[in-house]
Amino acid sequence: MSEGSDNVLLARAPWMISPGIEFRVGEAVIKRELDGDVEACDRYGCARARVTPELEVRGHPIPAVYRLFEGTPYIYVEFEDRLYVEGDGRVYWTLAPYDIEVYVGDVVLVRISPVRVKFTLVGDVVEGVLARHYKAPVVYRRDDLPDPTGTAVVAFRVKGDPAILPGIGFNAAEATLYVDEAGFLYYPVVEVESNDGVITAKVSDRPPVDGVKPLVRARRRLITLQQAAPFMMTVDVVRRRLVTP
Amino acid sequence: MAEAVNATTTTSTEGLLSQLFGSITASLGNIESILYKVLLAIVIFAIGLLIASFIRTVMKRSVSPRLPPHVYRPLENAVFYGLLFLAGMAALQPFGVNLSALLVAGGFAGIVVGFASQSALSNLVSGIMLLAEQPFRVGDPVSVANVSGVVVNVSVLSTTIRTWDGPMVRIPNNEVFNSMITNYVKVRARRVEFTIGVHYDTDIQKAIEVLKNFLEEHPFCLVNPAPEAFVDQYADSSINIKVRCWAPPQVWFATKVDLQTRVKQILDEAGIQIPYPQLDLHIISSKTEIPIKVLEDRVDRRE
Repeated sequence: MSEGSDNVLLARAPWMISPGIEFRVGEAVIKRELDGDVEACDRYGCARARVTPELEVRGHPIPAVYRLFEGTPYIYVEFEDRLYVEGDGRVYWTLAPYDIEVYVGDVVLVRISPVRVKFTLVGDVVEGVLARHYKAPVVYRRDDLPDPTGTAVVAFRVKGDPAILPGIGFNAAEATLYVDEAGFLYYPVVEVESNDGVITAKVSDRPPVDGVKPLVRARRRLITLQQAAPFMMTVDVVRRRLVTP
Repeated sequence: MAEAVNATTTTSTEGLLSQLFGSITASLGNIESILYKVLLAIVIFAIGLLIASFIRTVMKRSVSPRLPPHVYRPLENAVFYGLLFLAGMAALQPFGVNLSALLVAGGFAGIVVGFASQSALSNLVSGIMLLAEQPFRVGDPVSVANVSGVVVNVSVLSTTIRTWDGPMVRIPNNEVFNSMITNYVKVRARRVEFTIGVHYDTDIQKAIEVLKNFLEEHPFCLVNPAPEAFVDQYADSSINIKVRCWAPPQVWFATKVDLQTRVKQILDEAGIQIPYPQLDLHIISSKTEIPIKVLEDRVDRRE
């Protein structure tokens, strides 16, 4: 993947975008030309800026509650098949979207989404809750999840009465995302309780697997491509050498 | 004789002096009394001022964080200046001013002023009611008293709305309180609805499917409640299909505009025609032959 010693590309988030790099994850593209133009796009539009070569440009995964507007702190993952849960504290796995915050220096240029953005209403029009919607499979083991490109892994533990879940919703605004050695992104464990037909979900502050690092939004030390794991399934990194005119 | 005159003069001088001394003593007593009263009045007013300031501080600490500024400020001023007024009244008592008489007079004056400013008072009361009920907040898009726009300010006397086309409209609170108020963000979703006509030759199922896919792909059309497209009317020139989707209230207008703008392109790409108004004319053949004769005007042609 590495083509030059002066260009360093990260596999693990946050993704540093050096001059001459085009970075893709899902439908999101961050492109930095050698002449200083930075362009961040998703299927809903692009944002551009001209930056000095020494300025740091990076993409930072954040909970998917910003794109296309900040209208809700909730994410609702609708399962492809309804899930019967015993309520015995078992952990299930699914996927949820995240957004990418593109920084130019310390300034946020734009927030883009690697996947399609949809919203839904959970409940009725008056009392319901607006939430970012995503449809995903739900599985019993982490390894059974499909390629999570553009999404983060969600583990949820269900306690209480047996129930049939069409999906789970949780308040993701304050959640800290985690990244593992392979570059997979994770939401914290979601604790779901089923009592008398009422399902409540709360995001914990615990990562779902060991060996992950929290993605805090402060400036981070650069991690080079060589230090990262050799396979990156969550991010499809495309690198090309751009020719200056 | 002269002695007698002298004696008389001496007596009158003594009397004058004693009178003068007496009046000076009396005046000094009066001044002392006035000074005492003034001092007492100042002390009373100062105590009132201290109490009013103390209550204001307590209010700032305990009440202010629980109320919005536009509610708290008038309340604080009313309490503070009300207490100062009472302290002033109490301070006038040592001068023999009858407080109750003054209050009665003030009451009468209040009634007179009240009658004179009935409308202002009505607005004030309505403003307090609105602040308590809070049917809208600053920043909410609303329709009030035939005025639509965004609420810019809610004061105790009036509500200011910036209409969609820019101007600021001040509506007296009395009118706001007695009007129907539509708040567009107090709901979780708003429905976007429009009708589109397709040609009578169109495969209706295909048209509905194309429109539904279009709505399902749109980011602001909610997954639940699900978008709808259905035949609404067989009109003169077209089959009218009603298109509905629910959108977050914050982006309702953008969604409506975007859907209405792009629907033609979507239908064009699918080969579905939006017809012009048209009228089919059927000429009923008559059994009676109508003779038609064409005359050629050679003279005109030659010309």
